[in-house]
Amino acid sequence: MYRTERIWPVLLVLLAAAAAPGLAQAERLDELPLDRWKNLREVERYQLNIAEKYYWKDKNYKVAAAEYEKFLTLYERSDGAPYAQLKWSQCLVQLRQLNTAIKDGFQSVVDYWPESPEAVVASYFIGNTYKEMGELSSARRAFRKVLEDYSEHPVAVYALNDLVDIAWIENDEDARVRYWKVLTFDTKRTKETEPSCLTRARQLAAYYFNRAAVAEGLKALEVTCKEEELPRVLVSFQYPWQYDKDRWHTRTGAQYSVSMLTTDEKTRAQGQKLADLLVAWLREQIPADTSTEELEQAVRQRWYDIAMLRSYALQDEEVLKTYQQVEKQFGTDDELLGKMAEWMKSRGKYDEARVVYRRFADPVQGQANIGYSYRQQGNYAQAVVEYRKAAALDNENPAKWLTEVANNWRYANKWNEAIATYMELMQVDLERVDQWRYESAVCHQAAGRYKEAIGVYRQCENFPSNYQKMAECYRALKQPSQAVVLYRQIAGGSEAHAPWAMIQIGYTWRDAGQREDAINALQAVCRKFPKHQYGSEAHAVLQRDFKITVTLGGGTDE
Amino acid sequence: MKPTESHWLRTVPRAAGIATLAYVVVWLGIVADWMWFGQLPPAVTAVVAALSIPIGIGWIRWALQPERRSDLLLSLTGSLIYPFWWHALLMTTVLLEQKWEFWSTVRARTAQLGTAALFVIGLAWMVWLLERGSTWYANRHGRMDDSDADLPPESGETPQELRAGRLPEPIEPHPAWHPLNLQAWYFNFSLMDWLLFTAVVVLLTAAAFLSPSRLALVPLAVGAVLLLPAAVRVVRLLCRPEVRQEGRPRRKLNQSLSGLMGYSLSFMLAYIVMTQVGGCSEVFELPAGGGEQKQIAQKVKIQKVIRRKFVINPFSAIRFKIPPIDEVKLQLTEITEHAYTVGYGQGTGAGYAGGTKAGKVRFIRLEYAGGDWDQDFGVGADLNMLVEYGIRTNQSVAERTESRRITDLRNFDIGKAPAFVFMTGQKNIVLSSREVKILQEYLLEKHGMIFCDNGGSRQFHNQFIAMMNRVLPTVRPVAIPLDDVIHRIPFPIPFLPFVAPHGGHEALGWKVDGRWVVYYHPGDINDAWTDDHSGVKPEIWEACYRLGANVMQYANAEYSKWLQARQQKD
Repeated sequence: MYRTERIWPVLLVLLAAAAAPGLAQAERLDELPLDRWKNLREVERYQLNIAEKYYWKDKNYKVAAAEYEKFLTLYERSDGAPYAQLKWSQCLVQLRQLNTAIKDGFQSVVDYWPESPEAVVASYFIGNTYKEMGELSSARRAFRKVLEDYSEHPVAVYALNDLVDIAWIENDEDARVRYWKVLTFDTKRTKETEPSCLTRARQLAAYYFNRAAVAEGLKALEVTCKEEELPRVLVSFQYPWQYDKDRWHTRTGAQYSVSMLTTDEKTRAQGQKLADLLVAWLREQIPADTSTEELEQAVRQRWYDIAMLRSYALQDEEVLKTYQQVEKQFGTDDELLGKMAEWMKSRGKYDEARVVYRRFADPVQGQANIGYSYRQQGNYAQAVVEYRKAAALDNENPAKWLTEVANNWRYANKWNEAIATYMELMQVDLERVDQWRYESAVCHQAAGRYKEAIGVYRQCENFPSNYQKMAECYRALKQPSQAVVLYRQIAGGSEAHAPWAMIQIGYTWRDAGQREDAINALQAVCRKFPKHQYGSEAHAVLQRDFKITVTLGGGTDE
Repeated sequence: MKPTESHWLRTVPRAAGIATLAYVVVWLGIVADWMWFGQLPPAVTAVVAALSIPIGIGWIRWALQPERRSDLLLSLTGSLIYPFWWHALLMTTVLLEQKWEFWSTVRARTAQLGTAALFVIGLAWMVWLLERGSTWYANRHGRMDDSDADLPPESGETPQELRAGRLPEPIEPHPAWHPLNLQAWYFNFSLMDWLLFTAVVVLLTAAAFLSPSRLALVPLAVGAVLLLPAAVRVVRLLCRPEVRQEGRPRRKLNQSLSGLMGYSLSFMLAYIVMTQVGGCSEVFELPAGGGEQKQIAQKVKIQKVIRRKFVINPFSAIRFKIPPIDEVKLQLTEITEHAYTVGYGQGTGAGYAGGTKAGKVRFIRLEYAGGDWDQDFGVGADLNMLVEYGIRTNQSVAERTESRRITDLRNFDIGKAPAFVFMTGQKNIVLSSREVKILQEYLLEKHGMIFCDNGGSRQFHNQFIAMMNRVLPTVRPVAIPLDDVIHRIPFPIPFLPFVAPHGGHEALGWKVDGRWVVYYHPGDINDAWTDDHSGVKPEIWEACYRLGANVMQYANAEYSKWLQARQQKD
């Protein structure tokens, strides 16, 4: 009974949504449609324009709220009044006065202009604002009311979407799956609702794949794409899955489910079974016709996808067989060899991978891959040798390979060799001479040759980076005054870098043992940039390192 | 001739001995009260503890008398007196910390160092007793240990040769078990066995502490791996006597190591029992009274200041600009009017309907591991806030602020737990699974609240969020609206004040069933409460005091509501 009660409004939403094609015209929920805009009088448009400017362009929500309020006072009976009230409420949301926004704002729209389109939107925003406040039960109530009252509007889909979020927060899997199913199978797609429905359908598919339920997963995924695209989508669909540290982490494809299940010893069998089922389905999708290049490429891709799934399922023999199958059917090419070699490297078989790279039709790329494989193993000297060979083979792009050579020397902490390579680059790649000069100076600095580094940095033109580095060198040379001069120049020359440069002055004096200067500099940071992260850092350093409690900072969030 | 033990025991004055024994019984009683029951005022405990000083001096003087003077007697007297004097010193610091907060740190250090000293003294006695006991056992059973110089002449070998293990020892049909017997089978372990055993014990202890966290699996797994070879060795030793004679391990060393291990474990166990086993519950009660949960009215007082009238000599040589006659200066003073009492519920005076006459608003800081929980603790910061709260709300407040470990929260019964606890810091927060559970219980079942302030770093912000993810995994933090009750009552705060925005510009909250269970301030509000207000502008530190008062009032009011609801339910 309870379940039925919860479902019927949702079904109503979907039926009604199907009967409301005109709703798709609105660009955003909180924008006034053009047809209503043109109905406003000139004076009303003028006042609304002022408010809109502060809201959208200047993002000065305090002033915008006042202007919307002015509109309401002057033109209470205007067609734009509910819109102004809605926007006023949104201004309050931006000003973090959420309770007022709900009670005096959105609720007023619903109460005073119940027939207006804004009433629908306001009803949804009530739930949304409650959710933002952490009032999940109130939010849930509000969203359910939206589903009941305005089931024909796209906001019903948004409400469902938010209900999924709430179920996620509360770890209510049953509710989540129920809403997912509605959004996936029973919701008519419009321009507004399409993104939400797609995301939820993918999450539902992932949910089923995580339980090795291939048929259900594929069914959910089918609604996100055309039939012929499904095999490719199966291994490439992306979906947000884990919420951590204020953001969603995205996962990719059914292979994630295979990998997740296979990694855990307890569920490995289930993971491998999932891989078998997915592979079986993919095999069925392989077209028999390979007459055109496109069809051939599609077939190849299926096999590569199968190999990838096998690889995630730790079924190495099957991986090899799959690649052999491709080789047998289409012959060898660099793409196939590259994938084989990558898989070998993932299993630690670097020597075998290099044998495969040597079979490349494109010797330059093969050589480069060999070089890269040595770098991956930490054998930088050999990597340099291989990249040099690549450079010798590829006369047209010497800079590309020399850059790799220089990078390898840097990984190996061979600074002299890296500098020599950058010298070569300066001769070969005249367009980026300044960049290579800067990089060579970085190598001088890393090698501890600070004076030489300063000399080279002076020739560079990438202010303030070169000044930052020079200051670092002077600090290393125990010449704090010189470093401070440079930091001051940075603070004066680059507004964006000023807080950083000023706190560096404090650190420089601190490291030099000049307590008073350091305290003054750090207090200046607190005073001048009280809301900046460096203001916070300076405050903490003053307290921690100097036991100074009077930091002279302080501010408000306004 | 040195006096024997029986000799000096016989010289103990009977009356003094009985009096001291009586004192010891009383002292044990006050220690038990101090640790677990808390019924006696600290001053009484301190006075009783201080009595140990003259008693102790008397016994030392007795031990120093020439006729019975010996190092052993002096050491024994000193060792027995030590716990009493340590306790007296500790109680002195407890009394002093009530006046000066600085002594809190001294008290904590005295407790820690005193425990360490007690361990060392006990260890010294354990070594001495083991040595004496082992010799006594060997003499009694006619068997010498491998460190004894007087090895049996019939062996035909020198003691050094025997010690070097050249001669095989006779195979005993049954394994010896007595710990004073060097031939006991369990002294036949090699150093590696000992290391394994120690590692196992340490890891299992760690697992017990971390249980039931997943982290406990790591030491358990490692412990199990290490235990396996040790277990095999033990079985071999028990089953095959000849194996017990393989090689000649250092039995004396093994005996000492066993003693050390046994003593250390016993000491640790006793320490855990003494510190962790809760006694009587602590009690927290709100002040009785009542009040309304609404904003304090802001009243603008207008005072006309009539300019002075000047009588000017128009022929004066001095020029004077005469102000217009009707220029009147208006002096506007915005004052806060206490139009009602701050609190919640029906009652007389400012307070809470769920409170008691003896109840007071207390400011309890949470002690946690891993960081600097005591940043700006007590006088000069927390106490300023508590005093300001008392002044602004007219509610009865405690005389001093306090601190409690997370595990101490367990000692507060449901309905008698603090309405809120404060925590701050700028380093790490390390919580065991047990502490996480205690915090969960405190927030959800005991209806408590955490008022957290970021004391100085983004790292602390991340640490606190991570901590809350463990404590309340199904609640996500949200930015607390500026028009929320907590920001409006009793003082309206139109903006969020901060000293330094270590964790951003928004106050975060964790809401459960419509109640903020955690209020997190990102910007070092505690620094604004200090005596020098960290040099921030007056309007900022004033707002910080108001915000602190609001959070405290919110926690107390919500707690009072809950108490009343419970009473009605009952």
